[in-house]
Amino acid sequence: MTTQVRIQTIFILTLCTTLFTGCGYNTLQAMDEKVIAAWSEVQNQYQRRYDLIPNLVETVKGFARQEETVLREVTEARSRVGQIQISKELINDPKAFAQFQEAQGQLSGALSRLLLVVERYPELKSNQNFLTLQAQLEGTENRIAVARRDYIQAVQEYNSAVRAFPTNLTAKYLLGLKVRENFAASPGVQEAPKVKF
Amino acid sequence: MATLLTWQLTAAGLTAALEVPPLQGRVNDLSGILSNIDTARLDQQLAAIESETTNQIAILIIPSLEGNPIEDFSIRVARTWALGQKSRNNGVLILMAVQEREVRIEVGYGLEGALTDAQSSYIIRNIMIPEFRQQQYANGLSRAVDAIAAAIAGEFRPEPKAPVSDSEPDPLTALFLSVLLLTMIPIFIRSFQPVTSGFVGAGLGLLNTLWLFRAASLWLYLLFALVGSAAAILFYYLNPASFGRGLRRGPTVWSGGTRGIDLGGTGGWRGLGGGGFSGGGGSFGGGGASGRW
Repeated sequence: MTTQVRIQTIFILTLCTTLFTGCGYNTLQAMDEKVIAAWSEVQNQYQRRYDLIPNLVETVKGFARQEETVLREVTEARSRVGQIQISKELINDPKAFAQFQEAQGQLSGALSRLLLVVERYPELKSNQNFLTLQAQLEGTENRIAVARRDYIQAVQEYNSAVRAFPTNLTAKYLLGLKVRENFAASPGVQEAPKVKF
Repeated sequence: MATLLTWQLTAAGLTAALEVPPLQGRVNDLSGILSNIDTARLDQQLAAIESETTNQIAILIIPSLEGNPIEDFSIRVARTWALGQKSRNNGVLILMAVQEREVRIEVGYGLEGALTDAQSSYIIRNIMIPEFRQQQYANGLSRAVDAIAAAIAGEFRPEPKAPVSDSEPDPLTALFLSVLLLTMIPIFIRSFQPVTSGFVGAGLGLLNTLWLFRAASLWLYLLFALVGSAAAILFYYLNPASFGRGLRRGPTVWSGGTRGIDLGGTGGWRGLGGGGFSGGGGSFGGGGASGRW
């Protein structure tokens, strides 16, 4: 085997490996999909919470009608969340994303205040229906936390790939992928109610 | 707020989060509140459930959470251990923290419909907590396991025959195909020019994909075609003289190539039930409930 043939071999081998791994075409696609999947999980869990609230409000009303302010707050915060068009596009639009976050954060705050008020009603706290709803809400809040954490991680990986060389070239010129919005910790906005019983 | 902060810090890797202990068996009592007999009995109970329904339940008892929220630690353990079958996500983790007197049932994705948060909470409140308060830990766990098993029993039953997933190629077919390729390629390449052998390689690559992955994407076909042609050309350049002398050297090079393909196809395929206990690859999304005794 001559040196020329050997060089040719090495060249072909290198070409093959760079062609399939170096540009990150597939990796970027997979990361993009992962972000979208993580986002839909976040949405699902928020939707789940949204669906739980009417029942919860009704049950609390039955025992603590006088807590009008808190109950109204929850209902209003919920309807503000309902007004936001939730879609896949949301994660590509920083403004809409911030709006979504804020509305969900306000709802979280209102819910935690409601569950705090409930502590004053022992009868309500021992009601089976309420306990079930409370367990569901608690579970949903936990799922939201998990889904958000997964989303944060997915976006982190995706964003670093979109920014780093040489995958940024593929992202920019071949796939048209941009840096995505991530959840930010702005204090007071995303207060997750923590119920212990 | 404290919870939120903790997991954000954890996500950023700033806090020293409690480490996930290695999975030692179905019952992992790191605090020593169970007697050996209790542990063995619970282990048997859990093993019977798994062999009957494939649902994987594991118990972890830790001395302390060391400041971590139980939900945060629980999901990390459940995901690390990957309880439940990969295709069914039917795992359940029961986590007890002795010092904090906290307990959590972490439910795998596939069981969230059968063992809801409300049911998990009910089991904790009405079965575990009363027993735990009287230090009847083994009893409480055993009765809780019964309740959990009853809730999820209907969800998954072993099927008469284990279904073979479409995306996983049958190892026998792969082997047969590999042998076929081994014998065919050198015969073809021997009489052709590099370009022609490239085409033949591409064709064989396509055929390989078609055979191995029936539900493959266009991308996969293309990839295999390219790999096939590249391999054929490479093969031509690497050792043209050996073809004339028979097939002896050809196959050694090729077996490396085909093995790579096989591995790609069956990666993630894992044997179950051999010896010790291990998670089957199930996923968790934070379902379940927590309580305090």
